[in-house]
Amino acid sequence: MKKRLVVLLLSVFLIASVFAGGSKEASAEEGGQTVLTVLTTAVTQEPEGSLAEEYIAEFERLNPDIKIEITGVPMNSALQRITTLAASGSLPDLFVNTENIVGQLADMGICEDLTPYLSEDEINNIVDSVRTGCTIDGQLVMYPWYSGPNALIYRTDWLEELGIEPPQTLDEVVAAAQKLTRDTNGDGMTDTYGFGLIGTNDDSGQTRFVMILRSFGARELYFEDGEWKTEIGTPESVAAFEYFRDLSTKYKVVPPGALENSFNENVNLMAMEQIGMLIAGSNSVGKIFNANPELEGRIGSVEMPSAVTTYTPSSILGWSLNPESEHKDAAIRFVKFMSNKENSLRWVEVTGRMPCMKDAITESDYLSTDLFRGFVAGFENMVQAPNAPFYAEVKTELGKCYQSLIMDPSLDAAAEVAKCAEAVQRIIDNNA
Amino acid sequence: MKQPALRHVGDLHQNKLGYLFTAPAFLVLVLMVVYPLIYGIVISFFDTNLVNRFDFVGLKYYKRLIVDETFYASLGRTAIFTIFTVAGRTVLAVLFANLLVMDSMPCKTVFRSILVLPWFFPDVVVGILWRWLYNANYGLFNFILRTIGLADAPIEWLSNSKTAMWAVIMVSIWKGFPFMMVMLLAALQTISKDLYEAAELDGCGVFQRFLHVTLPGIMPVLSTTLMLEIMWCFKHFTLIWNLTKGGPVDATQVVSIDIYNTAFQYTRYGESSTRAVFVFVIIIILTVMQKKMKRKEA
Repeated sequence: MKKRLVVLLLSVFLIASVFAGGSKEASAEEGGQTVLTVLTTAVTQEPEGSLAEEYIAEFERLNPDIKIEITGVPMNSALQRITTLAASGSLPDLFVNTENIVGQLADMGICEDLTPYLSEDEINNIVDSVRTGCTIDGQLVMYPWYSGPNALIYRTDWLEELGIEPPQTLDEVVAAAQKLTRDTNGDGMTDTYGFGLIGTNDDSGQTRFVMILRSFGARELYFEDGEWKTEIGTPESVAAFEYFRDLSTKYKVVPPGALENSFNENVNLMAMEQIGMLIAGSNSVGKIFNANPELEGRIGSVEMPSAVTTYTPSSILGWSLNPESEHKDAAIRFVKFMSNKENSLRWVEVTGRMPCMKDAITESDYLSTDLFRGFVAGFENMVQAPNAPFYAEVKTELGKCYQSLIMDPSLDAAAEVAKCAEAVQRIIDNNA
Repeated sequence: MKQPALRHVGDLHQNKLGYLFTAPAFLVLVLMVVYPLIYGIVISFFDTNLVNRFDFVGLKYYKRLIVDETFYASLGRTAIFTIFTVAGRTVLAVLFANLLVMDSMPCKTVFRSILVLPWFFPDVVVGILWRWLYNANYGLFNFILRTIGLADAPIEWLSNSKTAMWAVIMVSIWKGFPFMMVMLLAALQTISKDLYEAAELDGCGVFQRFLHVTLPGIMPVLSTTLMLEIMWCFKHFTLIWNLTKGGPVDATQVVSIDIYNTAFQYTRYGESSTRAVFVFVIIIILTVMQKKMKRKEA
């Protein structure tokens, strides 16, 4: 009998141990404190991580009734993590959201409309273009924290040395890049390249290509007359693909391995003083200065140069509130604190990530420097990217096309783009 | 006449205890293996984001998959990756295992320890390490090739569709051959030396001794290991993802990456499950083949 009891107890213990641990993200009350669970990308990177932790500690000091429980997630796996947590019913109270994934997350119904929790003044304080990017079907599904609009960053000292004006058009980018591609030590090998091409088929590469595509006047995806449409396959789109290809294969102004050099590799190359220009978000300057402080004061920015027009996609990172959260008020207090004027002003100086609130934008001296000229101009003209749930798939097809052309420059660009157009149309049809 | 009934009662009593002992393992197996498997099959019939949309679509995704050329292309790449990886691992494993079993081999323990090292590294670490080695700008391989004058310009190992798959296969062979080597080493040590002496007396050369003594001796272990390797390689993901993410274009997009992208990049979980079910069937076929082979050998 004793044996049976022991066996039974052991079985129960084993089963219990399998399921032990519970849900880390689940909201809880702990010693009278509200435990607010937060999923963020900020703590997984520097220089953002240290400052974010400092802000959180300050928030907890000012709000002793709230304890913040942070879970870090790298940006490139945020969507997967949030989806998995949502599917298993373990979504934290607050989670990171960006303009790239907001369409998919809102489609899942896991982003609470924040309008009822904010006053009219607070809503009006959000920069208009940012508010548009955070709104889907009239609902404010994301509370903006910061923005990192893309612009063309360049080495001011190198351009001055060669007597080049900061490029305003894509043709001028090529001309400047050719001059900046140099053998500086005379050993017969190129030491510095004019342009850092992000040719990976990931969000970083795809976003840069879309900026060029739109600058040529072609749209990869747009909503009109109640349906999604594409302009891939038009002569303008072919010209954009050719331009992207030629930077690497014809003008040879980009470092080797363009198809494997993603955002981080290019930022490192800029920090290592191997490239002169790069299409990058304002946050990249924080990373560059962090890696090479000697470059402070030697980098400037201009708004994305144009072919026929200019295009800066909305680039916002914010918070979304779990509709099932039991601590919505605490969550709103937290997000407001993180984006308040004082914190936003310090945040931009340390990380290069720009505030999304009007009061912080107008009072920031830092944003009026040469370094931020291009970012600020882009920020004012930010356009919301398509929020179709299948947008990521469309961008992957664009990536495959530009990679094919760069890999084999002998391919007929028009034919490759036509194939890409077919693939994009198929995606649209499958999701109609 | 009553004896069998008593024995039956005794059996039942013993069985009960057996069931009780196996119950936790059975429960864990059902919850951790059977349930996700069935759930995966079920959602392949749904258009779902796993949260708020579960629209039944029947065989829609299966019909789409059957005519999807890109899926067959990724299956083809998976086959290439599997065949060459397993072949490479087998050659290296047989070679090193034979060297390590030789009596005349000095410092056996040291070599054995060094040779199994790649197996100990996590796939993610190996992926990042080799990405650095292959890098066109600051990779070690390009540095060496350019220093000794074998290359004028950096070779873009992972950015060229002609080299990317072979670069990935090379890493996968390096990472995986030690497991096979350890298994074969164990098998080689069970072969009696008398057999080699007898073969030598009969006039067999090195190759003939390998063909007629070594190979039959290690065959039971080799066939099982080969089948396991084939199944593992067929669904391999981590190493390839960390090296190329399936690129450039889709040069290294094997079926596991295709499934991952469909699910986690495009949030089309139903369609992704359809692909996973397809791969599951292939793995089942391979498993049945392996079982039959084992039975034949026995």
